[in-house]
Amino acid sequence: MTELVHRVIVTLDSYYVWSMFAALPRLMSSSSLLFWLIVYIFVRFQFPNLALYAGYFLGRRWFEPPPYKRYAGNQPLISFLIAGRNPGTSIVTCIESILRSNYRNIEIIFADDKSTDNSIELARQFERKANVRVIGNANHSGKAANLNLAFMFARGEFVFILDADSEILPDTVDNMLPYFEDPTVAGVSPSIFVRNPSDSFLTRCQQMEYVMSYVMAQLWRDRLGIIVTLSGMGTLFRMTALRHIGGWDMGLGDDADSTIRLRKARWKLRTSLRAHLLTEVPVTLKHLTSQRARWTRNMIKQRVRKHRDLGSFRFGLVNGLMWYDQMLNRVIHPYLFVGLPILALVLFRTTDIPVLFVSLYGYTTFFFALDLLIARDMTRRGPSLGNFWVIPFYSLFRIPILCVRLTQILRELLMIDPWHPYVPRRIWDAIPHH
Amino acid sequence: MVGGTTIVETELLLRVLAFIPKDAHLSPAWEARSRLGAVYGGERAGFDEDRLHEALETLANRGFLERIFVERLTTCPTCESHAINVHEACVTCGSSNLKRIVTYFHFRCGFVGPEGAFAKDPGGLRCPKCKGLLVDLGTDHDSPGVMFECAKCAAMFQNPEIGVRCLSCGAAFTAGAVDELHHRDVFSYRLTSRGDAALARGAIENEFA
Ligand SMILES: [Zn+2]
Ligand SMILES: [Zn+2]
Ligand SMILES: [Zn+2]
Repeated sequence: MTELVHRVIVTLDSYYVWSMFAALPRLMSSSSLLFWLIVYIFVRFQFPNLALYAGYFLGRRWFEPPPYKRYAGNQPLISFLIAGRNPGTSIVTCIESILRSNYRNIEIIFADDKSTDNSIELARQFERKANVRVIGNANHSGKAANLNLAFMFARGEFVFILDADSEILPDTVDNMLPYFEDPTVAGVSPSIFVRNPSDSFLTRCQQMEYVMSYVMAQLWRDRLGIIVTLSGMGTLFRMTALRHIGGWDMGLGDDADSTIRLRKARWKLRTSLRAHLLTEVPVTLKHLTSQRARWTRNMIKQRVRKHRDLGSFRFGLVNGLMWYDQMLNRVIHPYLFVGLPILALVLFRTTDIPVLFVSLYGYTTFFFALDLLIARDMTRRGPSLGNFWVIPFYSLFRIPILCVRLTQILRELLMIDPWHPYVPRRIWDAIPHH
Repeated sequence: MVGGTTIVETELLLRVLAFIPKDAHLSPAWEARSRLGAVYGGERAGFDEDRLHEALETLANRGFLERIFVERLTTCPTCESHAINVHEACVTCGSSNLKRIVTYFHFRCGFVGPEGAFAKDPGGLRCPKCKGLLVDLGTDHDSPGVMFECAKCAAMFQNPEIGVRCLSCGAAFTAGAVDELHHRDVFSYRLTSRGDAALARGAIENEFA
């Protein structure tokens, strides 16, 4: 028995674990194409993170909100806008979180997209108690339309867009407002964390995904000035900037489109590491895949269609480079990740394929765990160590998402079933589609 | 009063019993200037309205008359006057200076705004965001609903507060006003068999005698 255990350990140690790390350099040296591919992946995905960590350890103050000047002791009115359809009790949690904010000069406007549940009554109970207004839309019109409806009521110098499934913390606003001391800043997004990580394996994985893809990636994008999306889950906007772009457009999802239009109008966008926002993420595979299908299709609608003119550098070098990076990262990479193993199959002896996979898996898992540890330190709200056991299985979570992306990118590019019930059909038919 | 009815009072109560129409109700008529908001036509029989009402209530309490509910009046919590004015009020400042605003939502560009934000054009309304024409309600635009705007503080809202002003004492109530108001019920009266008997006998005996 002990001999067997010993043999297993020796085998794992000497062959799998070691060769896992050794195999990749060995394979890379055997093909220059593979070499450059791996280098590219490292530069695109790991290098920004490494630069971010280096920046954080060298100058932490860069990641703290700038000091207050104009808004010190002078609280401008902030209008919180919530648009929702059937949010249920989430709307109560959401409104209560705003009412608990340290920031006091607020008004809350909830535009109810003709909910079929009791959401509107749940929200109306706040109307008498606090500065809350509930607007029941007479027709089901979609999220962007209801944001515009709520926007019509807003009187604040700043506008906080908040999803009914999200909540803020008492100091969230305090950590966002200072960025607006720069009069060219149009919007500041918070760091978004998952509120319900313990609900399922998928929510545990999303907790890790959000920290890396939304918090950390948003931070290095902020440093480079290439923020693409101020999240619709929660973002603080300058009222004049939103007025400038005419609020939200229809039929493309609400957040990335408005962000890109702000970019085109040459407004500056920021993110705040210290402003935290919690959001509820899909628990089941069905909900997760339908959410990602919607995101993917909106992404293609915005980047490939409506805003492809960014690629002509008409809106400046940075916006142009950002657009090409988006094309690579959001449209081409998913196919590259599937194409790479197939390419490897052609290039190498078939016996090397499992080694290549194990090796890639080992590297990505190792670096991902390392990334998460650093992210935990930087955000002070990363996934708990008790959740780290999902890291080896994280790839399982990526597979359905990758499948959704691969199919939905193609379907959207080929215009197969372009309508999504996100926008009611009668409105969809009246929208000019690019 | 029970057991201690004076002769004068007994005489008044008998006269009031006789004033009730046989086999019918004595019904109130609405009269804003009266103290109760309604009168029972006592003037033509030489009654003071307030004393008549007092007597009707006494007779009803003592079982000679039956009350039939007519209406519940809302009254001022300060002075009990029914001369109160109810109006829609601003949720922020309580002002009743409200403007009704029809809103429109333009499908193609998503713009939502008050009717006044759209320029009037021979072909329809022109959208301030996309300069497109709103021609057909339901096909290219619709209305999220009628909203209110306060002319005093510029707040916009969908559900106004209910504000109340007492025209007698001047008291004003806004937030939660409806819950504070008092109520007074107005009745018709009808003779009971006991009332009939008393009238036939020409005497009102003490009910506990
Ligand atoms: Zn329009
Ligand atoms: Zn007002
Ligand atoms: Zn009064």
